[in-house]
Amino acid sequence: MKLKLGCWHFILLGSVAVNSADYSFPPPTASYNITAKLDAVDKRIDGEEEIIWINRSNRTTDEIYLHLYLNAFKNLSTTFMSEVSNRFSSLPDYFYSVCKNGWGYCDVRSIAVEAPGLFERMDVMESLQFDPIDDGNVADETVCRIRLPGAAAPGQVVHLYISFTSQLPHRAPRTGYYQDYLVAGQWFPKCGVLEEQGWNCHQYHNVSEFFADYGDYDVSITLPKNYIVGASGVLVGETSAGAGEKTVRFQEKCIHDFVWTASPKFRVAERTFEYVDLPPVKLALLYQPINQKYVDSYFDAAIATLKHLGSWYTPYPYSHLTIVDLPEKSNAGGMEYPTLFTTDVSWQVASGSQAPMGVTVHECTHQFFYGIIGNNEAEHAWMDEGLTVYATSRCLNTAYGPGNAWKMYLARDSFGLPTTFKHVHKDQRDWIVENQRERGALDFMDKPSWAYVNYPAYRNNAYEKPALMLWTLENVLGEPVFNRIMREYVTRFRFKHPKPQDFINVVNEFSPQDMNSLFDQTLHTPGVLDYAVVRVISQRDKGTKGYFGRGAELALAEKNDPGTWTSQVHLERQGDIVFPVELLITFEDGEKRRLQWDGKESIKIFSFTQKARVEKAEIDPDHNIWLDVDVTNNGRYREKNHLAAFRWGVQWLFWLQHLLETAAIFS
Amino acid sequence: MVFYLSNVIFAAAVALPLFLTLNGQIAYLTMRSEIAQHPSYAWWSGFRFHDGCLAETMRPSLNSGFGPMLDNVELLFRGNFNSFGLTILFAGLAYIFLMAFLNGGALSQFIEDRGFSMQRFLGHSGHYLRHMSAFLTLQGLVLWGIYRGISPLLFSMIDSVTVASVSAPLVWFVNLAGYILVIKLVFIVVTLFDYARIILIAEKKTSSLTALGLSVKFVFSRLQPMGLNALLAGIAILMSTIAGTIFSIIHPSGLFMVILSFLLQQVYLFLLISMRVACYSTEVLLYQQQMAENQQVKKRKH
Repeated sequence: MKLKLGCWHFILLGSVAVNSADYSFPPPTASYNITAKLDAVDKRIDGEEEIIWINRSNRTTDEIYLHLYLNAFKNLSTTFMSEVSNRFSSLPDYFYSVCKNGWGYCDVRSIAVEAPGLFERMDVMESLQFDPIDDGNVADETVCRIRLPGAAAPGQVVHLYISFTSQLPHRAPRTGYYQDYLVAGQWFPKCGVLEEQGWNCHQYHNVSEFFADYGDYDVSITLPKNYIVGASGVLVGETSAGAGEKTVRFQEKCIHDFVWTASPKFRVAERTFEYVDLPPVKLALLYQPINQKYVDSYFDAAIATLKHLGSWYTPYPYSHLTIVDLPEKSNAGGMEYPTLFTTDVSWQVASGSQAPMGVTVHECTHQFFYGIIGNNEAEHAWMDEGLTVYATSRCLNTAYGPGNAWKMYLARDSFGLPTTFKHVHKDQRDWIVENQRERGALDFMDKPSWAYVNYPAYRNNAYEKPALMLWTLENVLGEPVFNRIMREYVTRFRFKHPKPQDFINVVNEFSPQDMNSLFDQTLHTPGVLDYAVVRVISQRDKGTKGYFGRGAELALAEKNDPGTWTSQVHLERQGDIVFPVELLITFEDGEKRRLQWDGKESIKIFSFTQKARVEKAEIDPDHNIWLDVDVTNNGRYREKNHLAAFRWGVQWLFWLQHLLETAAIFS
Repeated sequence: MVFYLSNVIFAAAVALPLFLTLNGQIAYLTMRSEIAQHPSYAWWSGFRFHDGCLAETMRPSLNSGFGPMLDNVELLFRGNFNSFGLTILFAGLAYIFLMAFLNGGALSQFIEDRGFSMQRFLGHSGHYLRHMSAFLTLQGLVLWGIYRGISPLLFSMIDSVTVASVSAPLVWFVNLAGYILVIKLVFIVVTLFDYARIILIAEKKTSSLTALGLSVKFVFSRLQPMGLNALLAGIAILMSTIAGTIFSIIHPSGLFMVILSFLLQQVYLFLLISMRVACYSTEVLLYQQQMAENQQVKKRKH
């Protein structure tokens, strides 16, 4: 174990030089110097921090807002815990875990401020007030504010000196401990963001994530010597702290959060990512001994993400990336943090499930949006999760192709018999469409995370709907144009906390057509997109009869052309979203005709009179519109064929007969 | 044959509405060729979402050779027979009741060992319906107790033991052992009630509970009943493995292959149902032999 630990340190120290490469990071807004000591028995952290905050807004402020996110796990009355118990019909496992086995909190013991040129160092503990800014819940202590002795004008530097104690909760989402494993996320008092409208500092809600300014971090942690540590940043030093303890020090520039994880049971593996013009990245994997067989899969997934997203959008700007393979029962789940993400895999997985690549690519993709763009996840979750789901499915499709449907028989916690159905291919986007179909009518995308009507509405509007909207945009505008849009967006708003309109502006800037209608319908109104061909009919032209001609040529006549057919194609808009669609008509003689429909009417009928009957009609024949929640109704033949129904009817009949016979053993 | 035909007719009656729904949904689709080849995930998820009810029981596992059988075996382990919806649940309950009715006739036939007469068969079925229904209800309650009481308790104990374990394989195997224990309990209950039915008819008992008591004594006083049922279960598993392998090889995409697949499935089901009936006859035989041996021993003692 010591040898492995030594190697790990060597690797990290070695990466410092790489980190010094010039990556045009913007000047820091909120930088943190933290020293912390872990009580490994109680999983409690005593810390001292200095925050160097610079007012980079154009407004003057005489107060500073702070996040104390671990207080979300302080008691049952917090906003987080109340929302958990109100929003779930059956409470998630972590709810009981926190209640029964360990609460979490972040207690500020003292706080002083100093502003060079404005005021001397001064204790402001008395001015600390909790501010439940979102819901007025006085029991919630996840946001506090302090009063400054003087007003900080734009450009003013303010130093905050805070002593705090953080108790990690047991098996909580995104943070906490499980046995001797811990992931310390949201563990220290962190500044809110001062914007033009004032302080942006939301409470910790059940589903919302985070938002903070970029800054430089220098963090020293003292903990038992046998703990293997991974963290945001580069390990720049390790010293003995006596009595079986050590102090590890991590530094990183231009990140907006800092997480660390530790366990004596971690094993460490490392690789280096290198790909043509992209800067090299040192990869470190902290994994569970049981998951040795997945080491290559984890690295392959991370490397595929750095390669594809780096080529498509922008190079990963940091010199290192740490992947943390969580214990299966930790509850922390896959989660992104700056230069570090957590992922997990079950001991038994179905071969078609693409585990653990799916979660790994997803969390690694966050490094490019959550990490580099840094938008407000609490207010506009779709800008992070939606873009990430889109880019994840794109990366997975490129790197691994479609997966297979699979099932875990007898599935329960830590148990299951995985079975893959090899002939049932599943595109990376299929599950996204599936969820959008079920939840698309719930709420709309551009809403604060905590304001969604329920959890499925949040999931759909933060993850699935925006991803499908982006896939639709890519297909409609063409891959080169959309790649350019994404690249421009990521480059232009690197480290700049963009808002939805910034993204929309970039799309419209490069798009040949105005896409505002699509954005309006997805961002601000609920609903799904679904176009269908509902009827294809043909009938022989009945001809005509009556008087024809004029004057001397006026005569009673009957005109028939037995070779002419009149065909009709009936289309329906079955969803709320209006979007122009293409229609492909195939005639019996092989002729194909492409038509456009603006998609506005509820029903549209196309008629054709010619020698050949319509054989079939297809809406969106190239499957560009991924927002369409039901592609099976997009195409229809004029004549029916029973083979597919017969084949599936037979399979289903067999299952039912077997089921009845299985049940009969009880008779 | 009566049992098999009951199975076919019963299943077909439930399957027909689904087939009509399927046909109405797929027959005109441009995706129909793709769906005939392999299940399209996009089609499947949309079909079950839009059509509901029986359509919700359509799933990719049906495409696999072993899929339909594995799905049903899982039900035996977990007992969640209502997981496929009320229609299937009620169809299953009605079918079990029909089987309970027929069991009285079948067991009487084997015990009396006379030539088959439909009149006598149905007469015995009707005569013993009351007792068979009582057994069915009681057995249902016991199994409900296992699935809803003992099984959760067992797995809760397993969780409390394994919660501190970081060894995933250990946790996995402990869970597997839990499932095996559950299925073993189900197996014992089924065996006890099988012999209770036989004893009731063979010994002309008027009380189902008395017959059940005698069954408990009979089954637990000797190894043969469990051994016989284990042997028969083993044969059924072997048969199912062979059938599943054949179904995995056959890819029913064309009309001929669909018909061939259908015929092979029916042959397998006929054999499986025959196995169940054969199980009753061998259980009757075993019981009669054991009773005859007991008589001889008693005579010798006298």
